[in-house]
Amino acid sequence: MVMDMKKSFRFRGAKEKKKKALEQQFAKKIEDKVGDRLISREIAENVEYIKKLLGESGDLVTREFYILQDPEKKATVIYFDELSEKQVTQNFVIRPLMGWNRVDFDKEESDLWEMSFHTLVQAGEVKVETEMSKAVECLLSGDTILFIQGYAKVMIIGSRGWSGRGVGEPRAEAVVRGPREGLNETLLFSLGMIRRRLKDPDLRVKMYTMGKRTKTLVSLLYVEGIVRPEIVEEVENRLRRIDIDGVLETNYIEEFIRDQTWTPFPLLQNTERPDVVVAHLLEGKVAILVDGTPHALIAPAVFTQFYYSPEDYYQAFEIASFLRLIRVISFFIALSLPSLYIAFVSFHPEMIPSKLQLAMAAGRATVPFASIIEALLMELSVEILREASIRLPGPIGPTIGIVGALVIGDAAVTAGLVSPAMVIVVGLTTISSYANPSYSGAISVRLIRFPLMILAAIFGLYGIMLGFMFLLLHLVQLRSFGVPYLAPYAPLNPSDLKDTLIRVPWPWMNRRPSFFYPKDERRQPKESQHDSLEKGRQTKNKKGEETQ
Amino acid sequence: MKNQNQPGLSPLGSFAFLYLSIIGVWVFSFPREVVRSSSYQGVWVILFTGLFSLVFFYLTTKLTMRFPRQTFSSYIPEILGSKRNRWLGRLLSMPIFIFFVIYFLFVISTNIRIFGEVLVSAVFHNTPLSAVIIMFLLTAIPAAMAEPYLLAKVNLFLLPFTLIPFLILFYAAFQRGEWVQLLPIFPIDWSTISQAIITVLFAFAGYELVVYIAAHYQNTDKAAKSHCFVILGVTFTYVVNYLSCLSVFGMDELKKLMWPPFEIAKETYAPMLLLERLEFALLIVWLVNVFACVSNFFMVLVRMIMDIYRFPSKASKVVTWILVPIIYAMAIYPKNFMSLMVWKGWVTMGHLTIIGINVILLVIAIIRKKKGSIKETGVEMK
Amino acid sequence: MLKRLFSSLMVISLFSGLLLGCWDRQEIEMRMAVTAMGIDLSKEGYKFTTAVPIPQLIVGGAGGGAGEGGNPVEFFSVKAKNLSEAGYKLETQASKVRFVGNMQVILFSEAVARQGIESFLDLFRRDPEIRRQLWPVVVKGTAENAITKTVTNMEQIPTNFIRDMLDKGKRVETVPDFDLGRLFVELSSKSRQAPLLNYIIAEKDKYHWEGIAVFKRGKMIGLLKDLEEINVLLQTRFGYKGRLVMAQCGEDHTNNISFLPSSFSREIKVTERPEIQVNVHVKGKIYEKNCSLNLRDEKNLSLIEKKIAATYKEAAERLVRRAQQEWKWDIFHFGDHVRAYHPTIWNRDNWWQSFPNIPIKIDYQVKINRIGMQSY
Repeated sequence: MVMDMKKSFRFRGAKEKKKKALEQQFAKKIEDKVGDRLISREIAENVEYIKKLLGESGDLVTREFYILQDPEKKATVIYFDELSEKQVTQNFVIRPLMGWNRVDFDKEESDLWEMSFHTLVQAGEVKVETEMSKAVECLLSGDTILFIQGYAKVMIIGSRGWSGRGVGEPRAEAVVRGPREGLNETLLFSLGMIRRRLKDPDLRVKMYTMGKRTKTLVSLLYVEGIVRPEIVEEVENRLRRIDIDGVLETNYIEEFIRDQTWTPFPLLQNTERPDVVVAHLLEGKVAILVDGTPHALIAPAVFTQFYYSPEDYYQAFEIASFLRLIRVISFFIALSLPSLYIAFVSFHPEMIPSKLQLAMAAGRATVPFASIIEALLMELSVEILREASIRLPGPIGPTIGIVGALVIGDAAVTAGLVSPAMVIVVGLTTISSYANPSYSGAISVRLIRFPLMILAAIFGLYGIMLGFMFLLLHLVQLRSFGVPYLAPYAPLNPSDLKDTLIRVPWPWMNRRPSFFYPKDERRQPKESQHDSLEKGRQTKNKKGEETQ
Repeated sequence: MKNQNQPGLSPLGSFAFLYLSIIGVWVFSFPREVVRSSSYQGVWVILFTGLFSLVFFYLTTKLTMRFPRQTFSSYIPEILGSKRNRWLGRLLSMPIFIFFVIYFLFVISTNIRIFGEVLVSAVFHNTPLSAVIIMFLLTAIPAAMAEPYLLAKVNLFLLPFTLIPFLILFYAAFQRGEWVQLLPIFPIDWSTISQAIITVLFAFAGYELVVYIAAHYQNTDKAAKSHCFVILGVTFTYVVNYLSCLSVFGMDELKKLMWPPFEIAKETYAPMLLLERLEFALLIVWLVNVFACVSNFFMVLVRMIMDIYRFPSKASKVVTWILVPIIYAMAIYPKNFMSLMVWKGWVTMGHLTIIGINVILLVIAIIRKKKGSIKETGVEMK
Repeated sequence: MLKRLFSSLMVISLFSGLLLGCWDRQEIEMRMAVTAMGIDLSKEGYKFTTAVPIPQLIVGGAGGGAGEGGNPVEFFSVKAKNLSEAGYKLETQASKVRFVGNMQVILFSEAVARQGIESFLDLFRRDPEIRRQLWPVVVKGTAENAITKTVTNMEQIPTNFIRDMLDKGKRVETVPDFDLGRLFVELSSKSRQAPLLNYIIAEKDKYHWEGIAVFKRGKMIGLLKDLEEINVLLQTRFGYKGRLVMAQCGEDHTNNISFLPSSFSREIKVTERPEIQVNVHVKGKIYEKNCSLNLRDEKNLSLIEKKIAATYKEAAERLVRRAQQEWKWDIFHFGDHVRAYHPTIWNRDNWWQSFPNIPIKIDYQVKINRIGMQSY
């Protein structure tokens, strides 16, 4: 810290100047270029100005015409090709104005502008502005603007409409049972999907425009009355602090608003499933949606939730609990199996059963490398394969991946470069890391594996254990929007343990997780839901008997 | 963002913190030392030492309960000094603080050194002791910088893992233990027991941390109960450890063994497990215990120094890094195992002295009617 | 700033550790895993023979089958004064690092056992790699021959045959569970001092469990071969069920009845004199019967029970006589019992001196609770 101060003192002058210049450059946004210029009465002037501002853009369509009712008045429609719905502009703006149907018009009595606004232009979403900057902004968002000669204002006709992807299945979060819809790149579309699932008047949607240049629409979703107001406040504060030129994906925002930068663990969850978003909103969290990407952010997040699949709640509870156990085991395998292999082979062979020991020694007899090099080599090549199989075009991707792994693994063993045991270890590790339902959670495990392997190569099991201690200390200190990352295990709250390693049946989960401090704690009324269910069943049976 | 529930130690958290602080590395040599000092009367020795500790722990708790939300660095001057001249209190309490610091340094370095010795003698025959110790210390550094309630959480998390060695010990005793080896425990020989208590007392050192950590309790009133459970738990742990070792080895063999629990894992035959030899698994799991103990002491030491000199909370990093080489030097200093045992004797003496100081302070506080209240002061909760 | 310093320090120390360190890293294939060691007498002191399996020859697949290629086990013989010197000399003959963490069996030749084995145990205690579960056994003849000359067909590594045989015997309670750890405890304990090692004879293609070598402290003093006597010893000392017992049930020697114990309890009473009374209760089933006795008759059953008890008792008396007169040594651990339950007697007498003259009575009560799948 002391050094920091000295440094800044010495370089302050030069640094400040440079900083200022950079700031100025950054601040050259549309608003500043346009300034608070008002719209001129002269139509040609306006059109000329816009064309110049947008650099004579090729996809900018300007259409000049005369309004039928008053042939002296010239009008111009401007819109971006393919960004706006051309049908709307043509059928409901240009056609009525050019006289598709004749409406009585008295020049003296009524105003042409009023006339066109109220009767002629037949679009649903129309507003009037006088500032140029607004007009340009809307134009860039896909709206159509209309100038009429002699009026110093602009009519903005909502014609946003661009071709997007239809509703697709979420790729990274596939489930066997449960909805197959995924969120969409178009924000409003995604919002619709969420609203359809959560018809709650308390659902709040706050919109922000982020990105100096991209003008990306970002929305913050939460359910008032469930979520803790402080969390919303904090998220809003952090969102407001973002000052960047472009936001293309949720990660732009994630890296700005997460609590700690230096951690391999994801502090916010992302999902492309509308049902998952709703489930989290109901637990008292907030969701952040960004236009242009189907991934929503969920905050705050805790460590365990990266090991829960949405399917856990759609499947029978016993199966869900079993699957969670499997995932926990696979987490530890993915994290520590290669390092355990190194530790056992290089440091503690006496711990493995003597028969296996002989087999491993035989397998390694031709291997020219130390176990750490062997393991690093194999792990790295698997990582490369994994990365390559994502890039490989469409259908051949997985095939090449499997062939590559099999062929390389087998050839490496026969060539005596790696031992068969190592191939098993690498295979198990890779498969285990895929058992993790969350991609961002899995990738952090893949990362931590390497330091653990190095520790194992220096100190065997002692090193691994110290690594685990370090990891635990790190995890305990993490927080996501004030929520301890290791909740509900630390701090321990018995009522939260219903939805951890074991998921209890829905009738028993009558409280929301307490570590998100929800305002409304209950999911179900206080009286024992189970009893009332039983009663219901009994009466049903009775009725059934009667009808029979 | 502020938290709804105040971050502090819950009763369970304080149990984990103190339990793991007491049960550090001592368990490794404990059965041997008990048997050496008291032959077959070991059970009585452990029970009486537990009782003894319970009484003094209760008195210490009483002392801390008089000054809720205050660490000892703020209440000791208050007890000793007067309101008019505060410097007198500070002056009088300075030797006590210095004694605390030295004692804590001794406990930490002895713990690390003994664990290092176990590791080097049992597994890493060629690894230099210093490498093992440095690795351990480096891992303990982030723990030392942590907030007390976070470290208590870590302790709570580690608590279940420390039960694994006990499963192994239980299993071993079940598999290879013989009742005959435990007997005879009568007649009780009082003179042997009373002498043995002094030698065994070292194993109960560690609850002194309460003088600092009590300030961070969520609820100071409930402390006495959880403290009671701490001593009960520790006593139970030691009794199990001692009895299973004795039942497997018998007295004469136990006297010869360097680290009896380690050997007991060697004796155990685990046909169903993946691992063929359990002793190193036991050692590694025990690392958890030692780590918790060392990091608890280390953290309290750092906080204590910061409190005494009224450093800002940012300074914890600096203080920690200054302490690391000192602890390293102390850990590496004893020439061999024998001189290490002498150090352990000093730890026992230090423990006794601190008990004495606490009792005297309590008596003075009662006589002078000094009492703290939550409004009055002290440590602000973060 | 500090954080950066800290993290860079961590990284530097990690990597320097990796580069300079790895002090104890010893790859599995670079270790020469000794599975058995034999100790014989020689002129200079002792002769140590070790067996080291060659992994490639044992495991099929990677290294090719063992086949006729050669012996999958390599032997090293060195002459030395003690174990550590033997280890040192062994290193001079081998290309890999000696690793004794896997040693399963230690074979003492009978001559060594009679001379005393205590001097070897110190190193076994000190070296943390040595298992406490390995089997010390006594072999007839020389240990070197027992290790090198036998080629077992059931097991590729011959000495693993011994381990497996003893492990199995321990599980079904037919051989004394006397591994190295037990040997340590026995020799340390002031009231025990009577190790019982398994006595094995090496044949051409297998090993043969012959009986129990009885030790007085570290020295072998006798061999117990008689199965009935071994039964009594296993029951009174270890509390095992014991093996099969036979009693004559007809006129002829071929007409026998076999009794297989299934549960067992014993109580040892010591009087002030001292005088030892052991009551043994055995329950079990009829395993085989070659005479015309009708088992559905209550009377016949109790007759058989008495006969079996008599067989037991006779063997017990023989064994007690041998212990008191031939060996003059408490092989039953009665002394340990006295120390635990009657400390005053233990402190009063010198147990080892008075043992030969202490009256010992072992009484048996046998109950037959099952007769198998045949109804009479």
